[in-house]
This record gives sequence, structure tokens and C-alpha cells, in this order.
Amino acid sequence: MIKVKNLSHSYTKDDNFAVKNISFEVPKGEIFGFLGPSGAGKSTTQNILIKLLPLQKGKVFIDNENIAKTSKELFNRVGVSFEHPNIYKKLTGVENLEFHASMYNVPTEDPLALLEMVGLGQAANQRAEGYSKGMLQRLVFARSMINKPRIWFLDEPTSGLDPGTAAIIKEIIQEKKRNGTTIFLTTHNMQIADELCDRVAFINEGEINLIDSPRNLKLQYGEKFVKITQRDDASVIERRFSLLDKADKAQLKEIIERNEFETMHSQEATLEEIFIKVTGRRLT
Amino acid sequence: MSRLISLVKREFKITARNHYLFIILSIALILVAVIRFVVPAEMDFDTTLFLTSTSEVETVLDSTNYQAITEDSNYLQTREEVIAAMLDNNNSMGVALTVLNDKPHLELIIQGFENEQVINLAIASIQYYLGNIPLSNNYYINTLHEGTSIAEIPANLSVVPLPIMLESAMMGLFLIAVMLTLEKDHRTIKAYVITPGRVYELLFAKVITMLFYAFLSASVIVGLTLGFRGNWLQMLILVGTTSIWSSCLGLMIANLCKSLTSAMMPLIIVSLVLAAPVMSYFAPMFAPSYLRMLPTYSLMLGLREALFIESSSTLFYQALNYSALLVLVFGAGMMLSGRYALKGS
Ligand SMILES: Nc1ncnc2c1ncn2[C@@H]1O[C@H](COP(=O)(O)OP(=O)(O)OP(=O)(O)O)[C@@H](O)[C@H]1O
Ligand SMILES: [Mg+2]
Repeated sequence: MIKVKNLSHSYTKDDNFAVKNISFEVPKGEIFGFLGPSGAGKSTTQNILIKLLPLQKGKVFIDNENIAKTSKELFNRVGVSFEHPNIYKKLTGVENLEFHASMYNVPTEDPLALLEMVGLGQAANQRAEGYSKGMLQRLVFARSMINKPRIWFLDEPTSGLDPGTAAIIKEIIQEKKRNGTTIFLTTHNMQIADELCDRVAFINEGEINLIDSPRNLKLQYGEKFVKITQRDDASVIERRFSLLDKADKAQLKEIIERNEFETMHSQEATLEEIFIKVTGRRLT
Repeated sequence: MSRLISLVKREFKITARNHYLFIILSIALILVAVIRFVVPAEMDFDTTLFLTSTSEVETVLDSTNYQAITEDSNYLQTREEVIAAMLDNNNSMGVALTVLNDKPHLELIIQGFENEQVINLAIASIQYYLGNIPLSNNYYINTLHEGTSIAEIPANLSVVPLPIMLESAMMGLFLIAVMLTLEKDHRTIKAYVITPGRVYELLFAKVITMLFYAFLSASVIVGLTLGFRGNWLQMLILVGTTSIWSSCLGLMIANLCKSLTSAMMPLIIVSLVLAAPVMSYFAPMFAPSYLRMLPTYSLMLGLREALFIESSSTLFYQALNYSALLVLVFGAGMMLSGRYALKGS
């Protein structure tokens, strides 16, 4: 489990906070999505949790240990998948994993089996300098599982992957969750968050605006959109109107009265739209 | 322990695949070739010759020759003045002329660092100066700094301590700083920091790897030039301790610099300072106190003693003490800067 209380961080050590007084808890076996636009403070938060940044203010517990007091042995139970593929390019895929495995004092996974799992079996003995971007990303992902972590940090695990590979990665994440792994998933991608996460936190400008399950969010904000298509000469235009927004509602009413539409459907809000509603900001 | 072995193994794989071994061996072989085939076996070390003579000498010499001597710009009144001048200028020798048995008698005063060729050359030129008249008995050689004279070593082999010094003090400094800053640039260091592996283990592994390369390179250079002459144990001890402190210094610089580019400038400056004592090797005994304070200066003398002077070990121990001290200083500096630097960003 992960427990964060009143965490703040300022790179400049003044009142200019990159992360402002955030608190959340992730129980064992949950996938917790950390969603926010660029510069929101996602990486800052994650880096404090994995001790890449010093803890300035607040309390953090990882797997019941206060990270301000714990030793490096804690990392035997933690896995981190970085967004940037930080791999030893001169080593092969297998050598990278073998090396990484030898750093831990706990039983580790078989490197070859992990590589097979993420579709790198063929390239296992090839130096990583020859890997494509997506292959490197899968290698980083595989590496983060090598010590069978109980707490798993994933930073954009599927960005830049083709849908087929992304599906495999998602399946692995869900399998890990079923085995009781606690997962902290950072992403811009609302669809991934929707599919995978038990709960999501919306973070914007260093503050958490809301924490809830995607299902609750959609119950609360969903079914409140209307999608219509209009024909404009030759082309078809799609427009969406929120039934919570006064201006939207007025506009929609007018369109209906004038019968200026071809089709009309009510629609569930996507997480992305909910995010914009809550924070007033787009995700990308 | 097993983690340290894994780390060292990885360093070797990566450095070998970055052609470090190839580069280091090539440099060593090039240096061997330069020593054996390019440096002349007899080198002219443009030495100043201070002269003095008693007035009786006039009676046993041709007047033109005597005049030439007394009018020489390096002619001094007394033997004491000659010695004083020599103490001020390490790159000099002295000649005191007296009369013995009605013949000119020559006393050659040397610093003690000169090799046979230089001494023979000096005597020959004095004899020429005196008009090649027969001297009284033999000449007499007086040494200013006892216990430092180099056995009969051809000039080309006498430079062997230089490449050893440069390689052990500078190769480590540079290559290790490159190794670490590359890890930072590629952010692989972050992947390490989130394992139970300690920062000092990573740094030690790099130091151990460089130590191996330093031994290899020194052995190749000495082996292919001097063979088994000299005290290899002392030589390797100096190379080892030097490699360790220079690696620590390199890691310290790398720790404090954000990237390879920003580390380059301090590295170059430090290397130039460390290489400065080379000057005093070639202009024999040009050794102002600021040069003598450098660790590479004492290392150079220590290596020379280890390789060429069997009878004494004073300079070896001086060099060893100095480099042992630096191992502690830069080792501590590396640890402190490592704790501070590898965590951030
Ligand atoms: N090393 C740093 N030094 C100073 N300021 C930083 C540093 N890293 C991030 N920041 C600032 O802190 C804030 C939060 O950045 P952070 O990297 O946590 O955002 P993020 O949510 O991870 O964004 P992205 O989705 O682009 O990765 C930003 O305003 C950023 O400019
Ligand atoms: Mg980020």
C-alpha cells in the first residue's frame, strides 16, 4: 500500500510549489491512476515516492514503511518503470535484466521469461542500441517487474506502443493486480486510466482536485452529454453539448428548435471531459 | 559483495564494448613505440655550465683559452658561488678548475640527476674549451644531491616514468568521469538508484575497473621497454594508489557536474595541472616549488626511483604517502559528492 499525507515540494525551496499539500492512499492490490496535464506535478510526486527527490514536507509510507526512515532494502519490494528508456545500450536485453536482477536481495524473475512476456524474446540477445523506441519501452517495463515488486510505479507504460502490444501490457498489469500488487500509474492517457484504474486522482498545478473511481465519476458526470451530427454542405460535423453547462444547453435547445441536426445521441462523458470539467484544463 | 561483483562485471562489459580496452592498449603501445623508436637514445638537455678557476690556472693554460674561460658569461669568482648558482638552477652543472702537478685539474660538480651521457658531454666540452691539453690525473665528480643519481639508463628508456605517471593520473580521471556522466546523460543512474544497490557500490565498481586498466597499461609500457628491470612491486603500488585517487577525483568532478559537457572544462584544467611536472622532467630539474607540490611530481620521482634506483626508496615512500593521503581526501570527496549529487534530478 501507499500512503501520502500533506506532501508538498518546491524545487526552489520557496513558496513556488510544484506539489501542494497532496494526500492520498492506495490500498493493497489497487491500480491507482495519477492523471494530469504536462507540468501538473505527476513526476515530481512519483520521484518523491521512489526517493529520487528528497522529501521536503509531508509524510510518505510505502508498504508500511516511512520513507523518511527506511533503508534502501525497501527497494527490494518496489518496481519502477520509467517513461524515458534508461537502458544500458551496450548490453543486450537479457544482460540488462540479468544485471538489474543481481542488484536485489530477493528472488527475481527469469529474464528470458519476462522478455518473452513483453514480446522481446527474439531480441533478447541483441544489444539494446539496436532496439526501436517501443522495444526499449517494453524492456524498461519488463525490467521494472524483475524483483516481483509489491509496489509498482508505472510512468506512461503504453505510450507510443501499437494497440496490440499495448493490449499485452495492459493484460500484464491486470494480472499483477490480481496477484495483489499495488500499482501507481501515471499517465496522460484517459482511456488507459479508464480501462485499468480502480480509482483515479486528478492533479493540476500541483494539487489534487478529486479522487474517485472512473465508474463513479461517470455516474456523476456521465449521461449528461448529447452528441449531434450536422450536415454542412458536403461534410458532416460532430458536436457535443454538456447538459450541465448553461451556454451549451441554450445552444442545444436552439439547434433542436430549428431542427438543424441529422442525428442525436446522448453520451457518457469520457474521463477526459470530466477532467476538463473539474479542473478547467485540457490534458494535453 | 555479489552485487559489487555484478557491478564490476557490467562495467567491464560496457567499457570493453565502448572499446576502452582497445583504446588503452593502443595508447600504451603507441607510447612504447615513441619511447623505443622516436625518443633519441642520447638527448641533449641544454644544461648551463657554471665555471670558476683559481688564478694559478693562468700559468698552465694558453692565454687565449684562459681568457675565454674568465670572460664566459657563466664565469663566477669562487667555488662557493658556483654551488650557490647551481642550487638556484637545477638545470646546471659546475666546473671548478685548479692546478695539480702543474696541470689543470677539473672538478665537475653535478646535481645528481644527470645521466652518463650528459656528464660525458659536459667533460668533453670542457676539455675542448681548455684546448684539449692533458688534464691532471682524472677529473673529479662531486654530487650536490646524494643518492639520486640514475644508473646508466639510455635517455629513451629514462622517460618511461612519464607515460606511466600520465596514464595512471589522467586516464582514470577522464575515462571514469566519462563513464559516470554518460550514465547521468542516459539516466541509467536513476534505474540503479531505485534498486537496493548503494551509490558507493556503484562508484567503487568504477574505481576497481579503472584500477585494472591502469595496471594493464603500466605493465604493457614497462614490460615492453624496461622488461623486468626495476622494482615492479613499488611501481604497481604507486600506479594503483594514483589510479584510485585520480578515479575518485574524476568521479567527484562528474558528481558535481550535470552533464558530460559541463564536466569537460574542469577535467581539462585538472589534467593540465597534473601533467605540468612533465616540464621538469625534460628540462632536468626545472622544479619551482609550485611544481614540486603537485602529486604527479612526487609520483614521477617515486616511479623513477622504483624503476631505476635500486639502492634507495626515499622518493618511493614520499610518493606513496602523498598518494595515500589523496586516496583518503578524494575518496571522501567522492563519497560526499556522490551522496549529494546522484539523488537530485
Ligand atoms: N528539476 C526541476 N527543477 C525545477 N522545476 C522543476 C523540475 N522538474 C519539474 N519542475 C517543475 O515542477 C512542475 C511539475 O513538473 P512535473 O515534472 O512533476 O510535471 P508532470 O506532471 O510530470 O508533467 P509531464 O506530464 O510533462 O511529465 C512544473 O512546473 C515543472 O516546471
Ligand atoms: Mg512527468
